[in-house]
Amino acid sequence: MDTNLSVELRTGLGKGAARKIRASGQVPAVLYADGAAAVQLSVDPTRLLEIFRKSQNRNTVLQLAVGGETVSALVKDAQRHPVSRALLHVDFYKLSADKTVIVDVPVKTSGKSAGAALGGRIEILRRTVKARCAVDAIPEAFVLDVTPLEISGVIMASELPSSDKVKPVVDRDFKVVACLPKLKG
Amino acid sequence: MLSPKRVKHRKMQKGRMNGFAWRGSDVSFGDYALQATAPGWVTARQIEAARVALTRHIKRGGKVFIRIFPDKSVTKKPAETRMGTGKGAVEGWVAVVKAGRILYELDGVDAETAKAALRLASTKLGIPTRVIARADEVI
Repeated sequence: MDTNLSVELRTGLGKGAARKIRASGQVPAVLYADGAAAVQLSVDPTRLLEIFRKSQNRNTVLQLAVGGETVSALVKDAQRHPVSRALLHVDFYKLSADKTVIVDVPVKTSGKSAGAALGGRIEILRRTVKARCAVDAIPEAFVLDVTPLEISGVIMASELPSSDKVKPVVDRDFKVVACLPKLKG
Repeated sequence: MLSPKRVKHRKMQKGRMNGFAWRGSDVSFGDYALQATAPGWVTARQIEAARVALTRHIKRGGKVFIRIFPDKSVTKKPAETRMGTGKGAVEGWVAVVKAGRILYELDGVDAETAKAALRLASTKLGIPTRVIARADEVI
């Protein structure tokens, strides 16, 4: 999938300059990295939203064309207007091929659990789990097989798939998916 | 009906509802939500009526999250009373809602049921609303 996005460097800072950029159809943005100065940018929101609409993945690695060079980046944060839901500002986080990055990886389930067949229901208790990933191995989601899960069974964070390139960040263990019992009454 | 357990001052001034709800305007707990698109007061009675409409429509299963609380007292003078002699008695409680505020969220129900339930709930409220889904926005 094409994740190239051309961005422009901007010099104006503050809300006045940001408003002018928004009025021109662009969105103010910032690109930062560990130990490097932040770079102020402006970006086309239509193209950015199109990339994410196609990928349906919050952790899509973008290829930003900044002043003649190409930089890999993640969207760290995006601000939206409360009512119009238009993009107001975007934070890009620059990736380095030799470093790892912590991202929120969505949790999905697959299969029908044994507990659900008996009237229980599968509940995803954590929609996302933080994971430390290599830049070239950021997963789209943790897909958990719930087939063996019985009523009152849980899948803990420590049971999430882990590899050299993708490691869930678990300081204290927590429940990720549970099969809840049938409602009474 | 929802109301505060205790308050520091019983009667309040009217206040204004300028601007947008910059906080509490994202879908945080469920998959589908009802969002206010204009400001207004939502009474405790309306909040309860909408909650009942939601829970009855989704029957069993699913979770309802109420994201507003009526913490503002509203007073009213009795009918045919001469002006003056102080502020009226507390008549009820309202939630002050700014445009963009998420009012209710639903989790654990399919899209069709959730949207129908939230539309039913919206008819119980006195402000314009819309149904939004978490999946609508990736970033």
